[in-house]
Amino acid sequence: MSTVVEEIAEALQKCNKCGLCLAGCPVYKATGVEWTSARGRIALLRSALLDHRLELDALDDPIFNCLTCNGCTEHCPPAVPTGEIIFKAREEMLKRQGDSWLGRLVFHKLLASPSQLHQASKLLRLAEVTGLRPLARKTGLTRLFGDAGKAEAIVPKIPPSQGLEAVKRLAGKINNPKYKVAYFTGCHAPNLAPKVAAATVRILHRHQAEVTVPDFVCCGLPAAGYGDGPSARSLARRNIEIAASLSVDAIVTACASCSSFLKDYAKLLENDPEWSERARDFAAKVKDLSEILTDIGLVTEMGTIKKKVTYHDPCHLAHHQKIKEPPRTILRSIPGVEFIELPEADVCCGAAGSYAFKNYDISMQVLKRKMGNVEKTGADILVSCCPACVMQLACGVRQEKLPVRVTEMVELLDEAYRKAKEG
Amino acid sequence: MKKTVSQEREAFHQQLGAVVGPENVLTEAQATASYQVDGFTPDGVVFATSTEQVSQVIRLANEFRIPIIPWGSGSKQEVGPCLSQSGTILCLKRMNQLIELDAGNFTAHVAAGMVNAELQKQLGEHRFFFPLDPVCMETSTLGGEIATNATGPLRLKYGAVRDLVLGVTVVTPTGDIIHTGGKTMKNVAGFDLCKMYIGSWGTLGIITEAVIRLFPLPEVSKSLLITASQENAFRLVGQLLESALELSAIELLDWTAGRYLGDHGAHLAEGKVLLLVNIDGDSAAVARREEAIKALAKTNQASEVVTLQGEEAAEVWNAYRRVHQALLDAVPSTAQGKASVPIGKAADMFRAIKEAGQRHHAEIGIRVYCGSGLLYPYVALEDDKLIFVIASLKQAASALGGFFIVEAAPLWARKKEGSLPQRSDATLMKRLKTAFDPNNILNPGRMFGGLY
Repeated sequence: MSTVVEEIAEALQKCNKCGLCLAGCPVYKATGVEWTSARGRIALLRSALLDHRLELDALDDPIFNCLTCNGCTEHCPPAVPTGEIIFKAREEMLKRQGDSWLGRLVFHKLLASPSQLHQASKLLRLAEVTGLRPLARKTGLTRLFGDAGKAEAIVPKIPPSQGLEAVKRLAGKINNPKYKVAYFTGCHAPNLAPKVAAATVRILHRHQAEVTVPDFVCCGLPAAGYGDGPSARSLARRNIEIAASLSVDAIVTACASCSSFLKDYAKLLENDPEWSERARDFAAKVKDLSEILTDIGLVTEMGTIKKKVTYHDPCHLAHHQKIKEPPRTILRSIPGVEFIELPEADVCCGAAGSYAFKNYDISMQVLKRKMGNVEKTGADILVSCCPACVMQLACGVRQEKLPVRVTEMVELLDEAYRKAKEG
Repeated sequence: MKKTVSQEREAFHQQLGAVVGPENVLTEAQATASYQVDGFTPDGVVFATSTEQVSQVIRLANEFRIPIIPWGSGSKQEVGPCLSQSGTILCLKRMNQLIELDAGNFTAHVAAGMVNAELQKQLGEHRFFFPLDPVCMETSTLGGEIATNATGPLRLKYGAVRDLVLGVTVVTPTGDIIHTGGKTMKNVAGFDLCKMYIGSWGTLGIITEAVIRLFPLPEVSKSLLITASQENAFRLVGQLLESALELSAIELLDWTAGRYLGDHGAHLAEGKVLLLVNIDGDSAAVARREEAIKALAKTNQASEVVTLQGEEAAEVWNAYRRVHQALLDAVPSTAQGKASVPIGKAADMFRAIKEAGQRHHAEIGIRVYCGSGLLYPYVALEDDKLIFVIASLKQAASALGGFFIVEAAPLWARKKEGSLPQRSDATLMKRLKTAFDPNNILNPGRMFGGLY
């Protein structure tokens, strides 16, 4: 028996088939088919890995069309960690089938180097400006993402950016810092959403935090989600190494997926005697931006934003880190904001990283339900704290033609602070 | 030439595809293996979207002599007697519409695959609710709840499924569509078949639609959490039930089960139990009743009384519903049974359960539906000593004028103990099943006594 199977055997046996998880599974709610629910997926993995009544190879769909949103675990009395089990099952499958050249390119090369990633994102922008995006698709780059052709609508316009270097320039020294933090930008902000990166730095400065921007590599979540555990662990070790040379109070990120996975390093490397302790120390320093702001005391001197605002919980924040209140507290403290609670706010939007690219139809069904709820609130602004969610929600708003602005929490908060200065 | 079994199945699935559309018939391993019941893997899963389709599926099943296992959300698939053979799963999950809400008549016409919690949400938007709240209501479908005669705390005030369901549309085991009962409160001509289908566990027909009674949402609903010793609590229960305080629910959790009620039961000492009482109605009446309950609790030496309202009250009932599953999951191979005794004998049965646990060194958590005399013991035992505990509980319940059955338990225990004791009406019931289902198509084995 391989170690991956050993690792999940106990967790698989914890499922009692009660089906309470069905209430928390957005995919099952969209399809009504048992094998798309946590209970169904667990039953299949038990059949394949423990009872040997099925081949693991036959379970490609059940293993890969899970959002890993952890909505199921929230409803599960023994808290069976289906998301974790799915990641491990993907790793086992990849091990048996062998990795593709594309997987190796993305996880071993691009995501392991901020500069190479920036080059790639510039290529993507070039492709867009020159109308070459369809060609880029044909080159096979998008083969990694099954339904990508259909999913083009989700991809936002790519703004010009100068990558991590630009964020570093913004960071710089400040007078009388109260805190010292390292900003873990994640892959998305510096390359695809430079405004978010800039807003994050400004907000941290506002709270008298001196910001350094080290050359962190990708957090590793996309690799783990793809089933490439070794790459995820290697990226994790690299980040831990980089952090070791820093003298900071916290490692801060404004990306829910990053903060969630960085905190998971402790678990990711728990069986590695050389790294387990360092991973625990690293994980203990990680803070989501909303978390650290409410912890150290939010600066409430802000300008007025007279809008109805609602909030979508990213799964990686609400389910994986149990952070629900801090973003709401922040939004409520902006003068003029009328905060309206979104029905089913903590149900996944269907983005789940690159999920929407691979399982477009299911993802859109999940999104449709979310948009129905957004419409019910009558909000002017829909806020979230995760780049994938924001991309997906913006796509939903465009498709449903809702008069709603979709934005990252940091951007709205930054706007409120800047208005205070202007006023 | 005679067709092989697999050729027969393939032909069956093909014809099913012609009825419901080929995309609604799943036969690949990943689909069928995820619908395993009692160790059987079905040969296919078919999704119907109308009563007419269900009827055609059943007719085909009779033609091919292939058993059909109805499926809503699968919440009660592995409860009670085991299936005796495998077949094709017929899933009603996609028949999930609220067909009509007749506000003036306080009724709703609902398709069987609608999930209870979703129904409540939609009714709530019109200030109505349906007072059926079984522990699995977040996921169970209305059809499944009717077919298994599910019960919940609100039964005390609002009645059981038999009081709440006015009519059902059923596809019989031979594929006929019948409507029995209706929208009116009294509507029986001849035998009351509607009521017969309640609790028939999918063995006499497949319920595809139902007309249910609605109630206006009460102005105020309050929950009281009372901590008291076992003896004092049962005395208090007796006094509350005979009072004019019109409780809508009264549930009891022992010190083992109470631990799973979050903060409220975390520090429950041995010998102490938690009572969950619910009252609803107009605010003045609820306030008056709340005081009266508190006074009674005090005279019975309750050590703590907490009143919850609104979201907090809803949360505690949510937590209460999860206690069932938490107890099952706490220790592997836990078995859960149900003792039904006369209401006044609940305290005696409670003691008998605890004694059986001590005798066999098993930890037994207990939930009690006080208003119905139903006790649910959760026996955490991993070996065949379980059989001795079950035997003691059967004997104790019977001595008190009731009975005990095993509901959720490991497969081996259900195979051994999952049937009801022989009853005087068993032969008649067997004939009833044969008359309705001559080819034994629907849920073979699921009825008590291993009937078919």
